[in-house]
Amino acid sequence: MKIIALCSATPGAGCTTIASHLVLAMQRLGRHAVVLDGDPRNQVRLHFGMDPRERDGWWIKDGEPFCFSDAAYVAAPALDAAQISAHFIPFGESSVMLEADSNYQTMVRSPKALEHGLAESAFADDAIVFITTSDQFSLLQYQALSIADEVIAVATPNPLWQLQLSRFYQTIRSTRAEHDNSFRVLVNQCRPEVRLCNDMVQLMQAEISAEVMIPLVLHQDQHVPEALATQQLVDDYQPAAQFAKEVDALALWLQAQLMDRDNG
Amino acid sequence: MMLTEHWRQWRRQATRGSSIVHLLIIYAHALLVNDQQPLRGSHSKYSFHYWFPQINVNHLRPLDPIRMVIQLLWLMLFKGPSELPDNTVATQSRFRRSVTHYKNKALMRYKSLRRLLLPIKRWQRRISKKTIALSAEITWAGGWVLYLTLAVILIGLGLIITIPMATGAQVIMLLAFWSVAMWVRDIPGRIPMMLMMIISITVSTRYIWWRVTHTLNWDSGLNLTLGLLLLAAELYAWTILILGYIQTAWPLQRKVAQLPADTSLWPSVDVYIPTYNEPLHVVRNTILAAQQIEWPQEKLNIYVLDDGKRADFKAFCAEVGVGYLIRPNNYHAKAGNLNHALTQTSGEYITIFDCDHIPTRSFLQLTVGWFLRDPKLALLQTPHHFFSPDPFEKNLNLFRSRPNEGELFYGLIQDGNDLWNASFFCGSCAVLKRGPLEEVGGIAVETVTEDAHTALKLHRRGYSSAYLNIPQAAGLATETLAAHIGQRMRWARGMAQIFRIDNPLRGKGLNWGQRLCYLNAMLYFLNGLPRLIFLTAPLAFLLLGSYLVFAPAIMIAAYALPHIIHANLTNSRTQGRFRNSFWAEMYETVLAWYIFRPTTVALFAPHKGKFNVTAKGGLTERSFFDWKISVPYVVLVAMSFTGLGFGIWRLAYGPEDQFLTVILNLLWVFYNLIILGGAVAVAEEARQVRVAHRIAVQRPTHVLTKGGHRYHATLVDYSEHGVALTIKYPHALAIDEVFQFTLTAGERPVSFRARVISVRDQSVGAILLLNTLEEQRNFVGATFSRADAWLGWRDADNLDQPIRSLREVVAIGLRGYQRMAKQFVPFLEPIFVHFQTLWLWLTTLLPQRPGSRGELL
Repeated sequence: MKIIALCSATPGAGCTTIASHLVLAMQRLGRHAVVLDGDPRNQVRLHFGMDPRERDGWWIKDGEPFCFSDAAYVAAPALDAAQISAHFIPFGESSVMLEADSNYQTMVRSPKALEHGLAESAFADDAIVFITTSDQFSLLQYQALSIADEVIAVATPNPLWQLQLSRFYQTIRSTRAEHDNSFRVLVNQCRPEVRLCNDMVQLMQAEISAEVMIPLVLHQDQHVPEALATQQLVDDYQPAAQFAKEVDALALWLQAQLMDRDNG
Repeated sequence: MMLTEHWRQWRRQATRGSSIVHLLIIYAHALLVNDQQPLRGSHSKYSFHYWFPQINVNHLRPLDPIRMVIQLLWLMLFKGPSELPDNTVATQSRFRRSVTHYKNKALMRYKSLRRLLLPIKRWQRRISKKTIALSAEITWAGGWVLYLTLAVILIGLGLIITIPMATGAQVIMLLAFWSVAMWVRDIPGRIPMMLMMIISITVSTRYIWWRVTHTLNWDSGLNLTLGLLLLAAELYAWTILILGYIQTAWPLQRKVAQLPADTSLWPSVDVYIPTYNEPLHVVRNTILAAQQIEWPQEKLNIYVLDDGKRADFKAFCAEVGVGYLIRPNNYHAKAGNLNHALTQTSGEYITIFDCDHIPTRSFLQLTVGWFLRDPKLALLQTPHHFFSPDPFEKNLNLFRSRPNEGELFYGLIQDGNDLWNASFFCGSCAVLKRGPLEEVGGIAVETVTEDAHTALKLHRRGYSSAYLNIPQAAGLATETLAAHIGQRMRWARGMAQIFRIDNPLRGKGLNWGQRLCYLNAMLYFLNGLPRLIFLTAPLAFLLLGSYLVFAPAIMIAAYALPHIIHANLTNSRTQGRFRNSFWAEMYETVLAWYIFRPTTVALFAPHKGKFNVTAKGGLTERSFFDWKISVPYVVLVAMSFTGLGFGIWRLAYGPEDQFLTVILNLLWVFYNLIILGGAVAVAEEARQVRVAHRIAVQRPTHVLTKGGHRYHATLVDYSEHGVALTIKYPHALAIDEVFQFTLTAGERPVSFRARVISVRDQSVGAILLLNTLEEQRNFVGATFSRADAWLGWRDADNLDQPIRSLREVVAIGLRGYQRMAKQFVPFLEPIFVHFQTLWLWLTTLLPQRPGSRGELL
């Protein structure tokens, strides 16, 4: 099982969107993949057409805590010829405050709670688990980043991100001590036609070393919010969209990366 | 039950007859083939369709059985073993095994031969490494062993060439030669190629020897004169053949030499862009691209040398920030212009781009390295690549499908010259070193081909030259046949001038390789008269009854045919990738009449004539036929037809002992007529309405619509004014919508605005909205001047197929006759249409290369 955590310095950078789309793209490449929503905003499910009023999720599941396979959903198959479906695990909507929940207490007590939960869930050996994380739930974020095989930090090329950069680096580094501080930066919502955006990307490329930057960028695309509004993945909403193409490329890169790592 | 279903399906699609045949094939297949592979729809390497591309199993035609037999025979007897990958033999079915039985045998032979050739290959590799390291200086093993071997070989060859033989013996010997040539034809490597050359030289020399010693008709003055003329033409052709072999025996294929990592060691370079009367829109992209050449900015100076002295050029140069040089007079045209600039600038190296040649950003980084490695290097030339079709490609509608006319020179000959340290300067897309250039007095001004003469002068001073066969700039080809002929007339005259003024055979400083390479380049342009002689020679017999070759027809056939066949086979092997068989004849025939006069004049009066500028960037608003240009060929056609008529009359009523001679001459005239028809067909100027030529590419991009939607798209072509894209979603863009699309320039993404002018299915055509200079520069940087812009355009598998080539040339010839019929005898045109249909139908009987798609013109 490979764990890939996505995080970002600023809200709305696109972790949830990217993870949700990557799951389908990885499935298409023949990998078992699932996205685990680690963000209390509980938005992953919206990409897969789950009823917004539905409150179900791993966080509020009765019985054994952190039993992710019990909380997993299979989305309706994609509309293309292959009809592959994505698998996702919604966070769920709790009626009590996050910190008041017994799960939270478990996590505070046991720093390895997430790791144990994942280990005991019945995921296939070669499965990839994408975990979205959020600043709002730093305990979960901390645990996810520290056990992930690969961390993808999603960055948007705007000045705000630049200002948050050093704090963000610290967060990641503090959690990645066991993994040689390794993580990757993915640029999302790039707009090459905007001068400021181009400048910010160049600045990023100058400041962040080439091995850390993922060698492809995701562009801002109106299809993404529109697809979300119709509760679909972009692949279903508009297969010709640039975003769909770019996520496929990202999945391919990731696949190669994982294979590289497996082969040492 | 399966069969009845199939039957119903076929009956829906095809006629009853073809359905029955189809059924029979299935039956035969079931008998012969025991594997479960389906016949229909399988396009694997071993399907029926692969081996018989001209036969469509679903739509059988009446003569398909004959086609099958011809193809089968051809496959078994003629196709080389290199067609067959050797590891798949075991998996073939019985049916196919029978087809490939002979081929496998050939393959075994081939493999063992390959093993035998291994040491030679190793030696070959070592040698080629050495030649590159020494930069075109061959060190032959010296000593008496070499001389002795050479002497023995020469005596042997001399015997083979001179020994007289009876017809039978001659035929047997030549058959032996021919079978060796056919045997080694498909064996890769340079040694088999050289073997073919040696056989060809032997056979041709034997022919020439026989011609000189046995075939001159001393009886009458007229016969002797005409006979000597033909012999002279043949001697000329023989010389060119042998010089050509020497020139292309071992193309150097030089690689890029790396520059030092420290850019402070890179020299300063002046870029010259000479212009005279070309419009600014042609020149501006060259200037913008030159500014983006990746080189330390303080060491790169760009100058526009404007002999037209135009205000808009001056303003543009000031706006973009490049130097603008003019001179008080216009002496010596381009050469004078460059020489004047030499006195005004100070860079260590000079790079020259004709004003329509757009350089890539990597031009200097790929070329200058050799100068730092070889201090004697004074000149490095790169190919002239054209992104617009030349008149042949345009008028015959062949752009990019066949090697173009310049291919042979830039793809092979220059690389061959490089081995002998004799690469020529071609006037543009080259780097020159200032010191040596000033030493020879700048660019040569004595002739109208200043470039070749400058290179000759540099070579005489002991400097070396290099050729790097990587297209690093691209420009416009000549627009019309008239302009093309004008340009070639200038080259021909210039070369003849140099031949007189500064003969490469005489004078100091050249090695023998260089002398021969220069000699060939100059002699080549004297081909006008010999070509005209070949076109008229058979008429001497058919019309005048004069025996130019005084020998029995059977002897002529026994000597001349092998000479022609070997020359063609060998050239197909050495230059087939760069010029398909039989095309050279057409190119040369078109020019023959026109270069005959200026070369003759220049040979006698080398100082006459002035420089003419080749017109480029023009339009051909509607199709027209350039009759003025084709008059000489129409006359030759008329003469040949008369000869043909006389010949047929002679065949019927003439003396019986002339029968074979008449047949030979008729065949010759017939061949001439085909080539002449082609020469006439090229004069039909196709319409050309685009100001800017579109360059076909396949490059991923994405478009951003007004609504913020981004679609994945592929850039399929571009020009300086517009682009065409394919987008998978047909409603992404509407007519007149303004959108943005993104390309990369270097490593930087750059976006451009464009307006949709056409939408058809997934294809979108748009015109660019480039408002600022910055945007224009970015666009050039992302398209024309990309380092890889012109790489990979040459089809690597473009192998010569003599049969296909002949078929094409014949089809083009027929087109010429159709055109002539339309002009002179309109009522005959339907007959020619039928001729053409007949020809097309006949060609369907010819065998085709397995795996091809049954292409026809």
